Amino acid sequence: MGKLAALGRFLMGWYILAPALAVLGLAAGYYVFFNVAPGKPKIGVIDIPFTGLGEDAAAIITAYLDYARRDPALKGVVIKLSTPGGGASPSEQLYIETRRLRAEKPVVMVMNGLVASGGYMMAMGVNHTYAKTSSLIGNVGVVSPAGDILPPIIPETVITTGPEKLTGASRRDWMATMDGLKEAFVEMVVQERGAKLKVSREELAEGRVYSGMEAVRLGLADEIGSDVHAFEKAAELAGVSDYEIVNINVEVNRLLVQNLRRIYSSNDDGAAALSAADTELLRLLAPRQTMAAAAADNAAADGGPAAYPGGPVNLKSAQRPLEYGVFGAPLAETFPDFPVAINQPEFYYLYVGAAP
Amino acid sequence: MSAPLRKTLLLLLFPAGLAAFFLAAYLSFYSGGGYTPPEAPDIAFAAAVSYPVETTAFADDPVFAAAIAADRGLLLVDFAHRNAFYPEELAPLTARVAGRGYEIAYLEDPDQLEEQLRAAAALLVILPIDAYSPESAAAVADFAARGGRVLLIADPGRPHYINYLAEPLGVSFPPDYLYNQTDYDTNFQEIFVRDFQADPVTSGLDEIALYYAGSVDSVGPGLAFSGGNTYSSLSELPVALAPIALGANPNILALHDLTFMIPPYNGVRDNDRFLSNLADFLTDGQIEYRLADYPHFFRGEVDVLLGRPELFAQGAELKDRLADQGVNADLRGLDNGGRDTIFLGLYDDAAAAAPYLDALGIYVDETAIDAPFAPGLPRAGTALLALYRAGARPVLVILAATPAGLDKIIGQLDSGDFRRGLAADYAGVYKTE
Repeated sequence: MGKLAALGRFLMGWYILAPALAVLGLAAGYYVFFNVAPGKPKIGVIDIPFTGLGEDAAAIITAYLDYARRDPALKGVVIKLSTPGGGASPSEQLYIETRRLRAEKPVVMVMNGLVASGGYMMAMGVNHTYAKTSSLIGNVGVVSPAGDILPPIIPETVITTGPEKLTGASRRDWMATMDGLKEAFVEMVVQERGAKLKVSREELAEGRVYSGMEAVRLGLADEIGSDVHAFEKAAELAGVSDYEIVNINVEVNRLLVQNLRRIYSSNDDGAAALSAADTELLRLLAPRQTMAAAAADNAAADGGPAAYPGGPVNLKSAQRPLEYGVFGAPLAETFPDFPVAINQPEFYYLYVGAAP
Repeated sequence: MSAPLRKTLLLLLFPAGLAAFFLAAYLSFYSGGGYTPPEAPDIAFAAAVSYPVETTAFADDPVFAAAIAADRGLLLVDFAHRNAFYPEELAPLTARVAGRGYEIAYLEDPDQLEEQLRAAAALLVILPIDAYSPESAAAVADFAARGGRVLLIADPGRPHYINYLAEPLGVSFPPDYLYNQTDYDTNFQEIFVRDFQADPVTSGLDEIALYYAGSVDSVGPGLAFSGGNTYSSLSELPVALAPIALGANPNILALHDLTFMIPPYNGVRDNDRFLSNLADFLTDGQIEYRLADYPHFFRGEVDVLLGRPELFAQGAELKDRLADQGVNADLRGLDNGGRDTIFLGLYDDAAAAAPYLDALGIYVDETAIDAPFAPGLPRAGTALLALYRAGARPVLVILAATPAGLDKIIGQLDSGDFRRGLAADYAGVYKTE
């Protein structure tokens, strides 16, 4: 007992207790810093390989941008983009969402092979852009399919309340609307690029694509650089000096698969418990990967079993209850007896890559 | 150091360690002071809204209508070369042409071009996708050389091989389009043209709007020129380009835009007036018909004068054959002197037609026919066709050695076989036995 008491007195001695408390404090600091707040800063990467910006692609990218905006550990975002643009509305959505993210975190873009039209519009929402010398950048403008010059005849089998009820506009008004969209696009570039821009409105409206080096010279892009430059720039703008890189595509997809696994492991009919955002993502992502592969990836990442009991999840049965009911059904099926064809007219911010 | 103080300092070591790590880590990872977002620019989207220019109509008043209606004409519209237009698109123009007393006919068989040109006073060729053969192009060139009006229209926005026809006529349509990025209607390809050369085609025009127009290269003069910041997609040089030009002769007009005449574009600026000018161009020609153009050179009612009463049967047959070809004829006893006329007789009756034959240099005596193209032709076993024109009035003289010879030449006139025996544009002598 005497020896134990002596040991206790020794341990409670200041020369032991003091360093022990200090080490404990350091350990607690480590825990709080890395597990509570603020954590080691992360730069998120959104990788968009060559793709057209349709509604589906825009929804997925929006989910990535939204994730980047909401995750406090992400201090900056790098978007690696290659796209010929796409639909006007999806392109504008991505510009708005990117600009919204920029208001909270620095966003840096790496313009890979082609960043044209709607893709370039999206680039207007970032803080800084890097191009390769061989990148193709620009193509400001609008394209739209058009019918014959003579207006369509309203058949006797359809009654309308106005001359433009079927078409929505005369050809001339349609073209004027399109011209207005072009002017708005030009205005967007002029305002977002500001004093850096060295080309006139008229030159912008020509719809040219520029090489990366020319784009930098003319102020359409900021610098020649690659991914690492973009990470460093994002970190610099975020005010962080040491960081780790996080692939946002993987993170968002991983979360989705985790949620799916939770639902399917608890209740085969529980798909409705998915959030609206996850439902939309599932709809968009599922055709691109089998659920089995996704589950295996997820399981490997978590160190769990290689696959779910019972084998791969039936994709169709997973999708069906998650669809939007009647939303999105083809119009011809929705209105099978309608006497004229129902179309979805659209403007495009799209570079079709016609050989010059 | 007192014991309470030492105890207090010991207790502070834990938060101090925590704070020290936190501070060191923060300084290590967050050295830049945080993110300051840039000021987001306000983009004036509302100012970007664009509107098309107003449309107006021109009060068409065809000053030539009365005169031309009396001088019946026909506009032949090529629709035989897979032409890239809808007939409905031409309605504003064809209505104006019809308003000037012209008939409109569509060519639907390319092999019938030469035949149908015999009846035409004007030809409209728009965007042929099938190329014209050299023979067809030569027929059109000949038509224009004789005073027939030819309007060639191409459009950069539609396919065509019009240059196979245009180039022999002294015109070429380059594969370009004109554009202006600062002064346009609703699109950079919708240019305004304000520089006109004095010509009936450009009469009264201050400004027209062309929609996806191209330039025209021509040996003839340009009638309208682009200006200012209008460029060609081919050259990109700021030079004046002519989307409207005359061809090798003033009867050929080339226009590198179709869209401007299609509603609603025909109502922009002076486009409607330009349409009237084009209608005037098409209907204001004075074509020189040849004997080969029989019976199309007759403009209305035809008087058939018989050299002798015994030829009544031949006269009646000729009248019937003309009726089959849409020409009304009546047998008359006297030369009216002002109406379209056919003189039908035997060589012995030639004296009655002598004023017309003499004017052509053709003389018929007791045994032979003297003509500039072949003096001393025998009368026996032959028939003579000769076309004399007194202003717009045609007089066709048909003579033969015998009534049977007349029957035969009337048959050849009806079948068109007479064209193979023409010795000149105005006359032919045929063997009938």
